[in-house]
Amino acid sequence: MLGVYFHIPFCVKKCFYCDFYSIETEPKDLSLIHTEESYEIDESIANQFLSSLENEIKIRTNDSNKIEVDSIFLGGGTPSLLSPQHIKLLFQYINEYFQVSNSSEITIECNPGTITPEKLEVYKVVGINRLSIGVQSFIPEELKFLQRIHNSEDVFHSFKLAREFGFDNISIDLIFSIPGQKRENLIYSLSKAIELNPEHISAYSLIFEKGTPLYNEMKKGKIKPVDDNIDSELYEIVIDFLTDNGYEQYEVSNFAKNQKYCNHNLKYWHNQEYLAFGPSAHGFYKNIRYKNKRSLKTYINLLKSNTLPIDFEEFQDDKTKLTDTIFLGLRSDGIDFNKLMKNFKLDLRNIIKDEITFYKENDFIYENNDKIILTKNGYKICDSIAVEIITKIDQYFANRNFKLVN
Amino acid sequence: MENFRNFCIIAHIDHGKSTLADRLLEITGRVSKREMITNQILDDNPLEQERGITIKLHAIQMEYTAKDGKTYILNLIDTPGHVDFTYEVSRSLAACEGALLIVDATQGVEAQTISNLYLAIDANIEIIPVINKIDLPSAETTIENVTQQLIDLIGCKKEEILYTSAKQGIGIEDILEAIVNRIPPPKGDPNAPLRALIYDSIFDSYRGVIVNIRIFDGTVREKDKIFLMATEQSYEVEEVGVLYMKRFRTGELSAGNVGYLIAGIRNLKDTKVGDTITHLHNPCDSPISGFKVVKPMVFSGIYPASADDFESLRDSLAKLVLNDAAITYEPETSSALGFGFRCGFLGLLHMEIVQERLEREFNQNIVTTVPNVRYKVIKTNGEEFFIENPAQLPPIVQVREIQEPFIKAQIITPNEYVGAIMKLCLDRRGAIKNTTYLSADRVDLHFELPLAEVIFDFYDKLKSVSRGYASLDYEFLDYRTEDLVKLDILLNGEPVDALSTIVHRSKSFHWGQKLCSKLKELIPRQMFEVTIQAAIGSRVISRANVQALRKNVLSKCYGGDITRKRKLLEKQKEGKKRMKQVGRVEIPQEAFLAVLSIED
Repeated sequence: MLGVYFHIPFCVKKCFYCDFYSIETEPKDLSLIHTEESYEIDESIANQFLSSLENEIKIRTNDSNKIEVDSIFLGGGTPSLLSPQHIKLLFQYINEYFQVSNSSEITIECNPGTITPEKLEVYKVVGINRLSIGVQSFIPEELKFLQRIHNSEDVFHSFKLAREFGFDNISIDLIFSIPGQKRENLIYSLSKAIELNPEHISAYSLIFEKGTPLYNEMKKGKIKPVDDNIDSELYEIVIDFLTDNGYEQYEVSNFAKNQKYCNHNLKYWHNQEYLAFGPSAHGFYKNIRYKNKRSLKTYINLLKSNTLPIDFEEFQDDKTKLTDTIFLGLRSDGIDFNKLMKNFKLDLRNIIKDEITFYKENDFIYENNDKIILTKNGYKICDSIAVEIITKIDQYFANRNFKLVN
Repeated sequence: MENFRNFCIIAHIDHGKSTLADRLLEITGRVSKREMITNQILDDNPLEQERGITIKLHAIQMEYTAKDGKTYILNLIDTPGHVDFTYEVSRSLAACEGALLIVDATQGVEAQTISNLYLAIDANIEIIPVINKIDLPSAETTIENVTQQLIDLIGCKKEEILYTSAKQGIGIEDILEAIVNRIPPPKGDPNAPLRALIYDSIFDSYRGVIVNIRIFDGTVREKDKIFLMATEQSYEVEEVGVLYMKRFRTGELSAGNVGYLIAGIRNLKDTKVGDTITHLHNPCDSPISGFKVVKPMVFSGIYPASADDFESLRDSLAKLVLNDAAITYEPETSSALGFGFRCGFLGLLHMEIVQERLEREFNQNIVTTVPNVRYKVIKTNGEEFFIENPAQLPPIVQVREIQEPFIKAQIITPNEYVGAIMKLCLDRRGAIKNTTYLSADRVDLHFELPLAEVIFDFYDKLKSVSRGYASLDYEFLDYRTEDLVKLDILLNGEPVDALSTIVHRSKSFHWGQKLCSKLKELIPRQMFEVTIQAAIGSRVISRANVQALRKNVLSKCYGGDITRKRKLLEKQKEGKKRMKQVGRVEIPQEAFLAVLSIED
């Protein structure tokens, strides 16, 4: 079944490392940051945005009856900045255009400190059943470095509140490889995180993305990324700590307890289709990957004239489909030889048999049910392995097309 | 014939030869001002313009009405200006009765100029000394000195020296008058049997080989049956003419003149520079003296970066030798690089030019190996042969001796750098043979050096220890037995044939270490540790390790943006494709030239 993604492009304040698209709601007085009124998105902008969203949904789904979906993800930005009224309005649209399956996973990304009882109650009412909380770190200096607006107390408070409202599927985001990060500080954040006993943890390493203030600081020589060896060591700490504590690694950066995987993300990694709405949102529908314009203004203007706000589209041909299936599978729960044979008539096991032997000898992969799955050592060099396998497949096709010429 | 003047220009790189040639063309009306906008007309190969050097010879005929009222035909024969092309220079000199010796007013005489000057003196032609770039502000202080150098060098009178600025157009008329008055007209009998010198030939994809010739005796006409004396080939002449900016068909060419000839010749190798053309049925008694077969001095492997492109590389080389007969190439196989070619070049510059032409003109993505000289191997059973690739050296137990080529090198330098240059040459196993003071502060040094020590970065080093002032010229001397060993490189225990070199035993340890640490820098981390070893025979003399890759995974939240993630992988894949694989070890292409970037 289809997944649906909504990009909610508002933040109280942009984090200086983040390259996801959002605009700041600009609280006039920073001392208001921990009070409710500072979080309000300008009413008229929010209204225009939501009516554009509705229009985009209408245009993208116009050719059919209600499309059945089984996962909905509100990401951003900071979706939890939407007022309860706007959340209700959004779900009114969703239910108007989609058939939401009963077993659906419905996630909203929240920032600690922006969650209120009033909002949680609405979340419950509209059917949201999974929260993803952007915690990032429990170390004040690190939070300060990342320019996050919350503190550890906000996290504990929000988490407790969410549990009180009966949310039993909560994920926590953490960031590691913060410049200057001490091993013990990472371990502290990890142990604080599992103290909360979330069902799911995502741990990402800090990436210096072009165009972010963080990247510019690095270019100026003011901030140095952690050295590769330390990055690798910190990643290993993350994997060991979480797996030792009952979290299963089911993707490069994702860990779940009791198989509470993020079904929405699994759609990405299983090369399944998902519709996406909102500025800068990435979707994949009817074999076409698309990206929306990265500007709220352009987004709203284009939709006013009933034009889809498309930035680019890419048709997924068979070769791309194969590449995507392989590298996404490798990043997550493994490459399934049987499925490749069935869907692509490709005997990958045979094409990469020398590599498989080598990977096993070096403890990069293990085999399970006709699948190869990365080990901890394998996840660390996942991209090298993916590139090697894809290159091998390229060579295989090049050789097959090779014709003898006299 | 009285009004013909055949001359060339001798000058060091950058002393203004091409600019002067352009100026002469402009003043004699051969090219318009407008055509001059794309400067330096003779250097029509983009590579030549970039490097400021002339690789291929050109000739141009001009008309000049002198102050005596008579109109003269001037044939300017351009010469290449680099140490790799000495023989070609000697042949174009042989086609002339006179030469302009151009010296930069601020730089003075350079080794290249002197060596070409000696060639001109040997050829017994009239030399007109010209001091150029007199407009440069710094010329004021140096011009006296340079004048004296020229007087000492060629024994001319001060009044005979011309002072010009080709750039500003100063003194150009004086040069033209000197050409007319001082250079003798050509001798020769238009009715005698044909004797014509090939001083250059080029390949034209429509016309085949176009031969540039100087007629010494006789007359050549279209439809004549001609005979090339060295290659012993005969052809029928299709077209003859003279060279203006383009070819100008005249139907015949007589003694004393310079021009071109087209005779359905398919292969540039059949028209050897220095060969004599005569008539098939009424031949001359003897060829023009001085003919030599030019042999390559420097060899390197050229391989396609991707094995699929072998055929395309073969085609490109075949086309390239149509334009440059000095290149030799033969197929060879390397366990590391697959199928490729062992190519021979006149020198390092020639090698670089060929590599660049392959890449630019023929769009070839190539991997080149470290250049080497031709070694002579004498086996214990007395068998003797040459090898052009270190990998061809037989097992050391079968080798009695290895001989390497030595050169006679002439270096001219301001005397303050003599110490540094002596040290450089001694470090390169050279021996000083002679020191001559050209003037109070300019020294002419003669060394004997192993060619192998010169083909690496000797020229750059020489320039750097002398702040660019020293100049170098060399010629082959002889083969000498030296204590040479083959240094092999092993990656994770597997020898990489394309990285083998032959070095002097006294330097082998140093080289082994340097090479290992250079390769350590160049070989990227892989999924496993890579051990680099340098070995002589079975003895490992140096070792370095490339640690295993610690992390290569984008552990980032990228949402549904799969396209971008895939593009990042595709980028890595492209990088991987440019690597050569030995066993499981991936080696970047530049590693095969690592030796060249080793610092002493």
